[in-house]
Amino acid sequence: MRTTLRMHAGWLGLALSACTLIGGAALAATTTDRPGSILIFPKVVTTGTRDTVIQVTNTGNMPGDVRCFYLDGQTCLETDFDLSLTRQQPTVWDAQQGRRVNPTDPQAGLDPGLVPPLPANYAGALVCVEVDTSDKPSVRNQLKGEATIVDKSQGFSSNSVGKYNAVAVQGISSNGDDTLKLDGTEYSACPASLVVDFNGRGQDRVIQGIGNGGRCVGGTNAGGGCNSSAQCPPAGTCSPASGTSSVFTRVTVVPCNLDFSNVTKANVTLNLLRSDETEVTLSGAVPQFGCWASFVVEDAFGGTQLATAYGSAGLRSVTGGPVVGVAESFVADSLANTASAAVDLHTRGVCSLNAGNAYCNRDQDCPAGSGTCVFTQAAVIQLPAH
Amino acid sequence: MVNARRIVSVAKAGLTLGVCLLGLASSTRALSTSDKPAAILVWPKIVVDTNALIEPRTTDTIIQLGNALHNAGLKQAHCFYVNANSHCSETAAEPGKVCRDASQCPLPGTVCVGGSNAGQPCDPTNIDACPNGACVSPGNANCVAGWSEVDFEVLVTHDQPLAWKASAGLKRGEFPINASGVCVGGSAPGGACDPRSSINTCGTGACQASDSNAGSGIPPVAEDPFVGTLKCIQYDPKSNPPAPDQGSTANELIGSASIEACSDTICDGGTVDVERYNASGVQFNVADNSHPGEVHLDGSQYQACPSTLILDNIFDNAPDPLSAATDTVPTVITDLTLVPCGDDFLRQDPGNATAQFLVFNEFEQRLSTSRKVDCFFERQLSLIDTSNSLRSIFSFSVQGTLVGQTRIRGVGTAATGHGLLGVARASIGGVAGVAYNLQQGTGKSGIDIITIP
Repeated sequence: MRTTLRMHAGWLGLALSACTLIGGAALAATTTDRPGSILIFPKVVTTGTRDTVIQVTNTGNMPGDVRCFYLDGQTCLETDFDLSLTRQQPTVWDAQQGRRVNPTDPQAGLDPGLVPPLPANYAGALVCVEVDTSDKPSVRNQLKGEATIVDKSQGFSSNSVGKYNAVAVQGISSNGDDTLKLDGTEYSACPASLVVDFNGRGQDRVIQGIGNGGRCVGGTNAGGGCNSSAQCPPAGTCSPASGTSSVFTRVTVVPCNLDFSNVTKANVTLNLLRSDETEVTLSGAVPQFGCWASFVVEDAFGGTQLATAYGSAGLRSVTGGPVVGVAESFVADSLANTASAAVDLHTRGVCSLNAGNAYCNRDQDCPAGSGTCVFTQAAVIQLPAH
Repeated sequence: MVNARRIVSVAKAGLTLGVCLLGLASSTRALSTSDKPAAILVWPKIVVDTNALIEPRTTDTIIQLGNALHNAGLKQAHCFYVNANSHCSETAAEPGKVCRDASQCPLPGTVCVGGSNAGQPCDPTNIDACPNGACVSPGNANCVAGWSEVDFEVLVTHDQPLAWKASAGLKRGEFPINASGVCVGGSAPGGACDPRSSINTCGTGACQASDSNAGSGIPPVAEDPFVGTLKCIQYDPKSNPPAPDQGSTANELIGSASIEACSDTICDGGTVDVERYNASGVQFNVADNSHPGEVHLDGSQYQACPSTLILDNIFDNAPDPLSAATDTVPTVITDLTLVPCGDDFLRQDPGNATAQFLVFNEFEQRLSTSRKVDCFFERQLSLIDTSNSLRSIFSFSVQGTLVGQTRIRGVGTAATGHGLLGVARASIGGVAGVAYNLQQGTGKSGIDIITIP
């Protein structure tokens, strides 16, 4: 009887092992479409008049505990806190205010735990990891999240707001230790490269089309927005030179290699390859950074303007391991009324032996001698002992 | 006894493995994606209103469509604008006018309401026309839902990000690369030329064919104002007759949309708003030539649509979480746009499904409702289940917590009515807006079919 039960357990173990292996082989890179076991919010800011609202949701039917880490983009220091989410529970907090555990405070809802407030002028990332009741990392793939970045400088009736989905790393088979291997066996690996579609820095076509390509000089509407001198009566002229609409795109990236225990910097260098609408390509780079970087796309190309209105750029890390990121577009009319929009980045593969910028979607896409198409790159997130 | 237990044991293990593999099949079966290149792209929400006739602000949408791969060569996208505008019925004062609801379709003329001339036609400029009553519109005609599609073809070269304003499109000749050839040698090497022309414009050189956008044409959206959807399917540019690309480089399209708005007609001194989301992509899996003219989103030929969409939302009418300390707290409103995965463009039969909504608040409390999605669905969340937003299950005043999780499941029986795709838009104080992609659960919907004319 005991033997039979042991066999029973053995078969179950074999079956589950097979399940884990197959699952490990089948699961791919990070996603912004599905829940996961690790959430990475690449951009959390409280700089100037900007603030960030964080939403985290447990999409599963089991309660879940979460360890979260704010990562300061300047110092690479971390601030951690714990959340407890009941089944299917959504929760929210304002990064600058945090959230206290106080059932009587004005904020309605079930406080998930003490969330510390961030100081002013903070720019960095947030990482949240599913853990079990003993705070060991666990794999349930129940977490999803969003961040809303708001600029309050123009009054509440004209907030500049952008929202993006957190990057989810799906768990496969955690061993419960504090070294989270994003390698396709323990957790899904990070993307080998990212793609950002962006507006070239310059005038915004929609605002120009609507009618605010420049400003009136003279006339009764002096200083007002215009697209032609007829909008500057009686004798004013519409001068694009005196103020124009504008648009640019800022990319923010955070490494997948994160050492919250020893505060070791990943020291990432990015190579970029952009293409405009006429297929003119240009290479660029982002100099080495420790644990977080935010840059205007053109700045990675020495400030060289895009020859067309729209472009696409591939990003790949050449040192320090893979990154994940988010893009923010900023649009302003000629009177400097500004709006922003955030969007998640696309992912694709790179050719394994190519030191340059050979992007791919399958092995056949890689030129001879440049290896095979690799979609993911391994990384490690080291949690501090709890 | 032992053998019996062993059989049971093996059976249980087999069952476990079976369940495991089933679960795996479910969990690893890739569904739609918004962050990877794909063969089918869906932009659920395209809005144009350049004169602010329907929308509260002057609005236009920039659509970006790109070829994700350097080496993939020329790619062709066969695209369908789905016009989901509603129009005032024939009895309205302005029959055929684009409308969002019946209140925008007043009946012609005016009648007295109340007073001694109640029910009589009246002249609103005559203050004595309705003694003790009021001279008002006699009521509203119907705002009739519509659906029509316009399709077009776009050639995207191997490194090209392409973008256009939905209000204007791109006419032939306005594309970035119009020449279909390039001069090799001669007096103007690198110059543009036409390899099909009988006139050699390259002097002593030769005109060599090269990838270009020649042959593409993107029409402006059919109406202004416009609200609707864009679907693009990757085609093989060498196929004759044209057919969906089922080759090894069939998943090369990426796309996004930027909805830009100004609070006044010339963006002068008011507010500016921009919202951006990624197009939802459906990837090609394996070639299947058994149903020409149809693409099957079934997890076999193409990936399937997700059975569940997940929306994290701040409940409608909730105070803006960043404005709690101010005297006048703006509220947050979320609009949801859903479109069916399947459409019959051949028979002009739009996809339809029923969306079932499960709404959880921060206390695990669950409420549900459902709503028909007929080709295109766009509604403020708190008006999905009621006309009084304060009584809605999506309302802060009903739920009592700031945020919620809404799980949306598409249910249908027709080939064009199983899965749903969508995008959400949240606005603060009715002005500043953000668009964001919905996430999804692991299960797949039934088979959805796009039938191509």
